[in-house]
Amino acid sequence: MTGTDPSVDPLEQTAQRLRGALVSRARAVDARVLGSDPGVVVPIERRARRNRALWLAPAGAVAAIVMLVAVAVLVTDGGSNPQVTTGAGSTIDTMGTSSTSTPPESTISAAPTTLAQVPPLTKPPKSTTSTMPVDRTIVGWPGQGSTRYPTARSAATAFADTVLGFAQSSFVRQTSEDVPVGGTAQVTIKSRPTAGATTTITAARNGSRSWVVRGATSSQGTITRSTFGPDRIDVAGTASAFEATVTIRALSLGATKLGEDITMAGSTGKLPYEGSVSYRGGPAAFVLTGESDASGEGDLVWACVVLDPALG
Amino acid sequence: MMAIVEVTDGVEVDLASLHRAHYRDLVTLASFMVDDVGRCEELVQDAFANLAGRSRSLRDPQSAAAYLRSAVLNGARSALRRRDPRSRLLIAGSTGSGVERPDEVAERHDEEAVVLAALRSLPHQQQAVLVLRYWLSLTEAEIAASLGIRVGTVKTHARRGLAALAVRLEDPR
Repeated sequence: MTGTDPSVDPLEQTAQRLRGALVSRARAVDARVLGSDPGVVVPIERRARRNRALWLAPAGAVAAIVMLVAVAVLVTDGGSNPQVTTGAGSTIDTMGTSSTSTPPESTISAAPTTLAQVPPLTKPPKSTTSTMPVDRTIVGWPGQGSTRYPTARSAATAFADTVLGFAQSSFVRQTSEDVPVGGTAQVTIKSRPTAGATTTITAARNGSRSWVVRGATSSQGTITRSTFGPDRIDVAGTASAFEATVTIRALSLGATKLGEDITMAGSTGKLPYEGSVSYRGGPAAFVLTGESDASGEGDLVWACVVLDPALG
Repeated sequence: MMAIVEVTDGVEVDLASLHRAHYRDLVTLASFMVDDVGRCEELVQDAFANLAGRSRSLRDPQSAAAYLRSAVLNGARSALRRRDPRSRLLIAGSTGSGVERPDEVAERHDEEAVVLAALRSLPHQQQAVLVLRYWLSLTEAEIAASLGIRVGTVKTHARRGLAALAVRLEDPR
């Protein structure tokens, strides 16, 4: 089954083996699956209702807290500023104890219970503290309208897998994700579990469940200077890489590779490097320096990434 | 029991039809990454439950299948990351059809286990692209829609994934 035919492309042979294994596995699984009995939908709907209930409980709690805070603010303001102007010379005691008006008589001077409901309508709007962060437009990978990553770790891991091409990305650690919208978290990742080099990816919180990647640093290198031009990026820093070869890459905001070059740094320790990469098909948003692995596919084992400061 | 979810105003998707059409394929899809078939069924049920709960966020009813595939793949990935013990059990032979000789069955399962182990050693996105391409025979555009990535990225993952798989199968260390 695993014999090879030299006349067939090795990749095609691999594809055939993969198809065979998938079909074999599918056949085995198919016989063990519950099936498409319509009755199976019932527990799914039950599960959906339970999920909704799980969401509603915290949402209700948040709403109750917001209401309590709003009431507390109103009561506090009512104590410190008991009278507000309603127009036409009328004033209202927000504590509901009295009501006066200059002639002619105001119709507001009725029962205190009615007056107590008026102030929120007559007072200028107050700034309120929202408990639900709204999305901002923080520039970063993957850009707007693309996949949304709900956590710093998911954004950083996806960046490591798809942009840096880490072969078997391995999470190391991260700083707290409990930051306000606009704040950042650092996620440290290795290209393989056994790799020595680490890459620390900076992700910014763009919304309640949306994170974008804005850069990266590495234990093996730095970018100390980067100059973004319309068709060329100059970059400098220090690095230590296999055979002292450092890859420089220009990337669009969606991480499309626009240009690539190499430069020399240190191999047994960090040494300064300088280099540039010309690109087209821009605009470039990121410059990346890193060490390529042995696959020849452009995958990296560590990387430093800088976002064009002009993008904010 | 109502088995219909409303995707957008006036556009409805019949959950039971979706279930009939995709349930087995989705469980199989999950099983390429997670060994325990029961766990795979739970992942698929979660995906359907999420679809039923969040259906209004789907603008295009045609995207329901892509949403389900994406949810199942992400669920499988999360299960593996949580090191859910049920997700990493080795494939236990399973149900032969009875027409193969025992040595043929053993050889087929050996090959299946070797190839799937190599597949599972690839980065998640590469696994997902290869499975969607070689099992469901999806187009690159459909794979891109299912995974929320660009077509160019799909091509890259497919090329790199297959090359890496070839290397791993040649040298399984």
